[in-house]
Formats: sequence, structure tokens, C-alpha cells
Amino acid sequence: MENKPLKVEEQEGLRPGHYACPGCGMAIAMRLVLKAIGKATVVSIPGCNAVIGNVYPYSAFNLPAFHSAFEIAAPTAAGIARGLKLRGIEDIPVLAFAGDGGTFDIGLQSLSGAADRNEDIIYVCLDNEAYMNTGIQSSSATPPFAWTITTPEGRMGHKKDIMRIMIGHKIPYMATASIGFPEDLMRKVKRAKALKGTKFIYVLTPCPTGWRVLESLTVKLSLLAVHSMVLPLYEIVEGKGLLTVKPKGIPVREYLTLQGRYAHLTEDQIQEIQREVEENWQSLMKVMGGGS
Amino acid sequence: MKELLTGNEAIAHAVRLSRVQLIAAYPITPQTPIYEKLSQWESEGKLGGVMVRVESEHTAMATCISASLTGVRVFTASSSQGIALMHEMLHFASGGRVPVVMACVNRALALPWAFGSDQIDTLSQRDTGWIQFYCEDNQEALDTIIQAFRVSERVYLPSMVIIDGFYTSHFMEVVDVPDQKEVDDFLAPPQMPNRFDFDDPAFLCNVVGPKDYFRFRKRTHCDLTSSLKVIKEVDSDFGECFGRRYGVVEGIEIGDAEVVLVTSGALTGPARVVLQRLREKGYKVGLLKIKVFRPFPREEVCKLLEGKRKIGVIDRNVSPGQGGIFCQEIKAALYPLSTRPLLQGYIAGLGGLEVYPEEIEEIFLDLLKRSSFEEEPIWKINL
Amino acid sequence: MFVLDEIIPVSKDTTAKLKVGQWGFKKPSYVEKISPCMEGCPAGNDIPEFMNLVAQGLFDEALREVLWENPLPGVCGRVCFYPCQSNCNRTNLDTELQIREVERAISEYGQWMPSKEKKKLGGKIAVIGSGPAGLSAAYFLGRLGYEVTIFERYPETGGILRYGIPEYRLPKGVLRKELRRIKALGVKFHTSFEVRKEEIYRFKDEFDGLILAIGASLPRRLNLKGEDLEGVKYGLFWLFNPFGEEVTPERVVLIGGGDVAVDAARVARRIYPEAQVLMVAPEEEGEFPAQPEGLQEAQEEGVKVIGGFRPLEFLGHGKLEAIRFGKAKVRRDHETGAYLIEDLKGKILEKAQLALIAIGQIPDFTLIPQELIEDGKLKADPWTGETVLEKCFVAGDLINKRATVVDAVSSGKRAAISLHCSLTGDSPKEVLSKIRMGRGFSVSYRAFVTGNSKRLDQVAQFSEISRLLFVEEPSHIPKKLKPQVRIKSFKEVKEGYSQKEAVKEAQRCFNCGKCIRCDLCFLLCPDLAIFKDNPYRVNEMYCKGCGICNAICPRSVIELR
Repeated sequence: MENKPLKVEEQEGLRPGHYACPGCGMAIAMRLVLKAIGKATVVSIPGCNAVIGNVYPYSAFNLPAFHSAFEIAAPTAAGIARGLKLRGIEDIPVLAFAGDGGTFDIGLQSLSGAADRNEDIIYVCLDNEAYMNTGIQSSSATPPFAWTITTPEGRMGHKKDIMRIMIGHKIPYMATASIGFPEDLMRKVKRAKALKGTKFIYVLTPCPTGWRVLESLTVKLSLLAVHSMVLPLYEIVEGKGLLTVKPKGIPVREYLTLQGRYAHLTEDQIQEIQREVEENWQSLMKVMGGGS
Repeated sequence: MKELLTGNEAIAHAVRLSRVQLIAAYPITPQTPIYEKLSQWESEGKLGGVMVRVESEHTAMATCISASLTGVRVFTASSSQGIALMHEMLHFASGGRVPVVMACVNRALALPWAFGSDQIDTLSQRDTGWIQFYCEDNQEALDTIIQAFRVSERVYLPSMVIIDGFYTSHFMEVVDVPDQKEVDDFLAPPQMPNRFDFDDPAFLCNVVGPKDYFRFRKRTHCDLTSSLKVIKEVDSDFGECFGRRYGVVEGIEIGDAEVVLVTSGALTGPARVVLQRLREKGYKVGLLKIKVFRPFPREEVCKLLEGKRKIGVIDRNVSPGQGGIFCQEIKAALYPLSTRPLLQGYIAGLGGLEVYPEEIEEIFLDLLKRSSFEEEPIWKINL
Repeated sequence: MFVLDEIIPVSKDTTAKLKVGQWGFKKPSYVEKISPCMEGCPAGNDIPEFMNLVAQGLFDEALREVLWENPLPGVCGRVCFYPCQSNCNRTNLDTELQIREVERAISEYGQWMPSKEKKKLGGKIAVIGSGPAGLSAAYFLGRLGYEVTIFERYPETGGILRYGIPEYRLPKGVLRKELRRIKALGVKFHTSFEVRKEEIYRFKDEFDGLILAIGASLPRRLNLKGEDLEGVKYGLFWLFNPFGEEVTPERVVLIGGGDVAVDAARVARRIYPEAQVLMVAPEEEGEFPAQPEGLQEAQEEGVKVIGGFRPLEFLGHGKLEAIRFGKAKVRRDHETGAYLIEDLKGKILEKAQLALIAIGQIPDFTLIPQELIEDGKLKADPWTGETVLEKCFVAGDLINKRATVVDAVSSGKRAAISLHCSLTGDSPKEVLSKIRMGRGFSVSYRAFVTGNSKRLDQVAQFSEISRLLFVEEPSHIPKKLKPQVRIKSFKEVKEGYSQKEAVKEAQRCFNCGKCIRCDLCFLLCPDLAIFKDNPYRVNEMYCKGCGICNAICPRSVIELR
């Protein structure tokens, strides 16, 4: 980020008065995405994003939206997109919001199908790394050793590499983004909007409630995640990779020790996480062909 | 124009003639020929609509529902496991009040695995708020698809048009395929609104509280119940345009019958033949075909069956722990009558088991000589 | 026909009706404060403010900003020892801001003439001495609306600025520009006019107020044997006219480790290109009181430096021939300025024909009324400049402990405001304490005139989040002339920033304590509770008190209550 005022659009797609927890990272992400996308139709599914959308008769969206079922964010958006085109409405993008559960787990099949058909949608995965709306239950997006109520000893297993899965689908655009870099996130949304086909944007959205941190630390955590290489920020356009933010290479320990869900970590575990982060980074660099 | 078509082909023609705009489907035996025919026409440029080859039936229904929200005319088809898989979405469709039309080709549900005709797949969905039409033959299938679009788009509730797997879907019959112009005169282009309005944006179908849920559910029930009137109107109109009408139920030789057998679907065909034979022998028997199962035509059933001494219901399905489902519904419909006839349920043809005319005759004769009825259904199987 | 919202839930009511702000009790507010650099600057420059203006390329506005607190930006931008920079929060990320260089750029590229504030007060003030303290006092009194006359005993104005700091560090053109600005306020100058102490009483009657800014005009003596030999001079006074030597020395020795010694050494290098120039200071090398930059430049120019020796004796017959030094451990008492010496074993003998003693200056008390002196010390308040004489105030090296240009500017400002208070019946101490910046020496003239806008008593600490938000990018250091080129003339050694470079450097400034409307808080509020106002306002109907705004502000402007 540069030390000068940001240049962003005036319009807001999200309204105040929504029911997100104080300090919710997902609310920030949704606000930024909707700010960038302008006129669009929104698909919301069960999870925190629907809580933010709010209950009948209120809406927190300044745009027409539809509340679909948990595992079908992608085909719902696809159906709407196709329907609009059949009605001659060509220029309204359809945006699907889904959480990590609705993307990595129960929604993976329908997302894969939509990506395979290259449906003309923008799919935004808002990852808070567990099923947060229903309590704090682990998902396949929960990172190793993290505490959740269903993994009180820390999660066994790895975090599913959703970007690699999407790379395997060869869709025209995919990107990772962070709320700590709002201009970068908004630029990616705008870029996706200009392209045809399936666009996948992944946003890591820290959850103070589920990650057991103070609610004021949400953006700081996002910055730490990027700079410690836990969340590399890049885009892949027509198969070509491009790093969009150069991380400072902070030790992952600084990111972990802020979070209550990692309070029980042993020194060995921290080192293992650091190793895995570095390995993931190396293999990402290979995928990007060293291009940046 | 008269053509020799299978039931699946007839349905495909009806979909094409109805100018469906979006078809999202997934292959499953015995529905696949519908999917294949439509795909073939799409690649030949003869379809007019767009095929979406999805990765599961659940997604197929999801895609249809969401496309329908924008106001386009949609269709899908499935059977057995596929219908079961999309069960969540079937509730979605009726609660979302979208006029989706689905062709269901009856097939048994696993486990155990079997592929023949059994009505359990569609009857399991009887609580989902869909209109259900059970068709006897290929012609009826074609005609009912066209009617279903008009009905659904009037009442904003989805419809299933149901045929027997293999017996109807794969058997060839002479079918009168109407002209495109004739169908256009009967079925206007879709007039549904695009529910995504930018001037007055709304969040559609978000979470409601119990009071509102109660209200919306009552409304859905009332609308589904009163859709019977619309179904009759459309059927009558169809009769005027095309010379064929079906009614919500069909009574055959009921007037002076003392004993009536109730059937649905393909079984009705051989039942008609048996009825004729028995009539010629002098038996006072009648046949009642149930076409519309949801909304259940209580009034029509009561009117036709009131005063009859004995009623038999053949179910090509079983609801374990209760018995045949059509029998159960007929019993409930007849309950208000001051004098109720003797009612006996028969289970036959499960899993596509052949039901020969002789067996139907046996059922008739059993019913005729029966003096009491059993709570348990009589399992009609000849090994 | 169906009405859609009767058959499915259609939610159109805006959530903006819902008072989610009731969930939390903490609410943020915008509290601008001073920055550590501001606290460290004796003149009280509002550095974040002018940095922000330069960052936008607005040099004229930046100059106007600087001139609120410091009338001599061109001078300070070259010669100040930049105490502001050592406080700079940016050192936590990469390197400190080159504040002094940017101040110089503002004075070079900005155009602005100050004028009197609205009130025309009409009193007449006399300022004795036209060095930085006198100029500063005259400037602020002039701005306040007084008719000010400066009396200067030398033929030209500027005091130390003209006579004591060489051209290669402070070109005369720069000083002229500063003086023009002061003249624009109607300040009159009487040069070659020495005010004797008897006349001060007369001045007291003729004028409504008096500022004594006569500086420290006597050299501190060593009181050693041979100090009266020909060829033994005092550094600062030699600088007033270095060309007055008849004989060209072969070797010049500077005694002392301060800025004056360094400047005298470098001037000697220039005017005696064949001579060896040696600087001997009692402090250890690395602990010389001189600005490190000047010392390094001197060494680049060929000045040899020896530390840890003190002079014992000047040797020669009538004329200086050599100086004997003895190894010593020396400390300076910061309270009295006196040297505390511990002699060690070891002596050296340095040949020299010219010795320049530069160990400090002391004020000439013979120039001021005796009532102001007690026990050999000036009886005056170093903070307000008040003396025992009514309407008579002091400023500059006369009273300051730390003899630097910026401290002189600072004391001149304080004396001016104190004098004004005494005329309006207010208590100088009270007034100054209200406009004091942090715990430093500076007061804010702007706050005095317009009323506070920032919290002057709160200093914005470094915001840890800046380490994550911003990319490391060290300062660009301006070019200097090559040493071989430098010593051939008195041309200015340092080039200074181009406009583009100044803008780029100013953009590195975090603007600690000042809201520059970067929109980070506005954009990252999850509840859209911050909206753009002046600079921003919080809508308490929506603010859940999460504190993200407070955590993300790199300038520490947002506070949670």
C-alpha cells in the first residue's frame, strides 16, 4: 500500500445496520466487493454472509439478491446469469457469495460443475476457516492445528488447496485477495467483471469470534497473513500467474501468536506450520512459472 | 402429424414445441433419451432453447429454479435416484413459487437397485408442493407437458408430468404431434417477471420468522389446492384446441358399477381391456383413473365413488409401514362420506414387475367376491 | 395475477433502520495530535501538516504553513541540527524522513509573503540584535500587528547567520530572501547602530516593549599561557572576517569539536589550499558536539581530526609557532556549559601558525543593564524571556542553554508572545503553557492566534500497523559536490531536492497525529459507520465499537472512548 489517500468508487452495495459480529472480516470483504462491482445481482447462501444480508423484511444489499441453498451458490448464480441473457440483459454480472463450507466442502461439487461449464459468474469465496455461523465447527478450510469446537485438540490434516483445485479447472480468471489490501481486492473484482466465464475470487476473512482474537485486530491479521506468506496475493488470468503484492516475509509465528485458536501450539507445531507455508510458497512460485 | 414415438420422444417433442428457453438436466435411466434428443436438436439448431449439461440432478433443479426467477421458461427431467437427490430443491421450487416443469420417468428407488417402473420416486415427493400429473400413455405425456406449462405459469407452482419407466418411456405408440403454430396459439410466450429489479432492489427469500413462515405456507397450500380449477380450465381449453381432453380423473363405466377399481399410470391401459372383458361377461364393474394426484381431487373422487359398494386400489408403489399410497389418499378423500364403501388396497408391479391382464382380472374378481376388507394391502405377485 | 411479495418473501426494507450501534459501548472519535517530530522541533514546525502539502505538490501552501511557526525555513532547512528527525516514527519501518531537506525545498520552491493578522495593535517594539532570535521575535511581533524596529550594531543584518555560518552552508541569497519576508511585515532595520546599556532605559520609555537578543558575543577563553600570541584567534570571530590575515599559515589548528570549529576548519581549507588543517578536540572522536554531517564533510575536504586532547600551552616568540596538547578525558557540564577535565598521560606537540579557539561563546553582559544580572548570571526566565525589568524580554543565545539557530527562533517566538501578553494583561506563563507542544521547548503561534485545532499535549506514537501497511523505501539523500570541487570555492555544498524529489520524500511521511483523509478507516469499517465529513464522523447508530478504525489508523488519530 502507498502512504497516500485511496482512490475508490463512491457507490455502496452494502447498507449499514447489518447483523455481523463487531469487527467481522466478512462484512468488510462483502462491502468492498459490492463497492467494486457496481450494478449486479447477488446470490447469498446460508452462513455468515446471509446473516449480513439480514432477515425478512430487511435487506442489507443495495442490489437485487436471492438467498439460495447452502451447496448451490455457483449453479444458482449460473442459472440467473443464463436467464438474464436469455431475456436479453447482457451487462449485469451475477455475483455469488459463499463461505468456506459452501465452497470447499458441501459446495465443491456444484462449484466444480459450474467451473467446468465455464458459467458466466463471479464466485467470491469468503473464507473464515470454519463453519462459523453454526458455532465454530471445522471445515476442510480449517488450517492445521487450529482449534475449533469440533477439533478441540487442534485440527488434523491440511487445509484444502482450493486455488489449486480451481487451477485444475482452467477457468479464465482466479485470484486471491485480502481485506488488508482493499484497492487490490477491488481491482480484482473489477477485472473479473470485465471478463467472460467463471471467475473465482478467494478472500481470507478473519473472524474475531471464531479465531479468538480481539475484534479490532481483523485487518491487522489480514495484513499479517499476507506478509507472512500464509495468504499469497496473486491472480491467474488465462493460465498466466501474477503476484500482485510482494510479501515482506514475516515469520508466521507473528500471525499465529495473535490468535486464541492457536494458543495451545507447541514450538514444533509452529515450526511445522512455517515449513508448510514455505513449501506452499515454493510450489506456488513453480505454478506461476516464476512470473510476477 | 402422426408419428411413431416412444414416450420419451413424445415428451421431448412437447418440450421443443413449448418453446422452453432453458433445460438443465442430468442423465439417468430411463430418462436419458429425453436428454439425448433435446441435446441432438440443440446441436442441429432445432431446439430454440439452451441445454445446460449439469453435474447432478440437484444442480439441475437449482439451475432451473434460479433461471426461472429471471422469468424464463425452464424444464428438466429425471427419475428415481435423481428425483430423490433433488428433493431439497423440490421444496425450494414450490416455496420459491417458480413454474418449473419436470418430466419424471418412474423408476424404483434403491436399495435394492432396480430399474423398472415404480411410482415411489415421485410419490415420495408428494409433500413438496408440486402439481403431479400421472400419464397413461405417450400421447397423454406429450399433451400434459404442454398443458403443464400453461398451468404452472398461471398458478406459479411447479409441475411434474409423470410416466412409467420403460412401459411408457420406451414403448412406441402412434402419437399425434401438433404443429408449432397450434401450440403457440394454445401456449403463449412466457410472461413471467424478472424478479431482480434494480429500481427497487429486494433480497428475495431470505430468512423469515415463524409467523411469516406460517403465512407463506398457508398461501402455498391454498394456491396449490385451488390450482385444480385452473388445471380443469386448461384441460378443457386443450380439448377445444386439439380435440383431446383428459380431466383430473377419468371414470370408465362407473355410472352403474357397484365395484370400482382405481388405477393410475400405464397400468390403466391393460385395466381398460380387462374392464371391457368383464363388462361383456356381465359384471357391473368400473374403472377410475387418477390423473392429477396433487392437488388431490377429493371432490371428484367422492362424487364418482360415493354410493359404490366396493373399491379396489392398485398401487404400483408401497409406503413401508402404511401400504399403497394411492389407496391411502383415496381412503382419506372418502372419509367424510356418511356411508363409506368397502376399500381394499392391492400392491402390484413394484420395480417394474409385469402386471398381466389376467392378474388385473384376478384383482377385479377378488374384489367382487370379497365381503370384508383387510387393513393390510394384498400383494399381487404371480411367480 | 400474482403479487410477488405475497407469495415469496421479498425484503425491501433497508437495514439502515436498525440501530446496531447499541450492541457496543466503545465509540471512536478523531483526535488530532502533535507528532514526535513536532515535539522535538524547538521552533514548533507543524511538520505533518506541511509534509502533507508538499506530498501534493503544493509548495506555496506548504510555505505558508511553515511560516506560521518558523520565519527562517531557508536557514533552518540548511543549518539546523534536526532534532525533529531523531524522533521520526518512520525509523521503525525504514529510515527517518529528511525533514530538513524538505523544509529547504519548501523555502526554495514555495512563494508566500506573510502579512499581519487581522488585529492591528499599533504598539511600537524595539528589538536589539538581528540574529535569528531577534529576527524571530520581530517577525512574530510584526505579524501580531506591532510596529517593530530592529537595531543591529554591525553593518549588515543576520548576526550569526551572516557572519558566523559560511556561504557554502548558508548562501547569502537565502538569508536575503528570509529578510525580505520579515521586511514585508513592516519591520524596520537600523544597522550600524549599537544600543548601549544606558540607552536601553531610554528605549524603554520610547517603545512599548523591548526584546534583547544580543546573542553571545564574547569568546570563551582557555586562559592558557601564550593565548595572547599573534596568530591565536577565536574561531567564531575569525569567521566574521577570515581574510584579514597578512601571513598565509602553513598549518592551521582548530581547538574545539563543535560546529564553529568545523566551519572554521573548512573555511581555512578553502582560503589556505596549501595549508594543513587540523582539528583537535577534547572529546573523543565520535562524540564531538558538532553535527556529524559537517564533521564528515570536513574530513572529506582534508581536515585532519584528533580527539581526546586538550590544549596545555601556546608556544612561540611573539608569533605562534606550536601548541602543546595533553591527553584528557573531558566532559561538558550541560547546566553551566563548563568543561570538566581529567588529565591523562600523553602529550603531543602540533606546529601551527594560526590557532583558532572555538570552545563556545558567552554573552557580553556589559551591553545590558546591571539590574538584569545577579551573581554573574542573567536574571531571566528562560522559558518566557521575562526579566526583572518591566516590558523588557530576552531571547536567543543571551539566555538559551543550547546555542543553536532553531532554539534562537524558538525563544524569539516565546519572547514575542510573552511581550504581547504583558501588554494585554495576560500571564505569559499561563498563555505559553496552553500553546506548548508536548514536553519540548516549542510553542505554537498558530494555536495562539487561531485557537487549538490539534491536541498539543498529546503526541502520536508509532502505529505498529504501519510496519505492515507500508512498503520499505528509504529516503533519497540529496547529492553533494565532490570534496575536490568543494574546497575550490564557497559554493553551496549540498544540492537540495528537486521538486519531484521533495514531493517523493514528503510522501514517505506518515503524518503522525494528522488526518490526511486516506480513507482507510472509512473504507474498512465493517458497519459503514464512518462517513466523510471534516475529516470524518462516526454514526453511532451503526458503530458496534469493534475498534478496527483505531487499530488501522497509521497516524494514531482515532481514539476509542
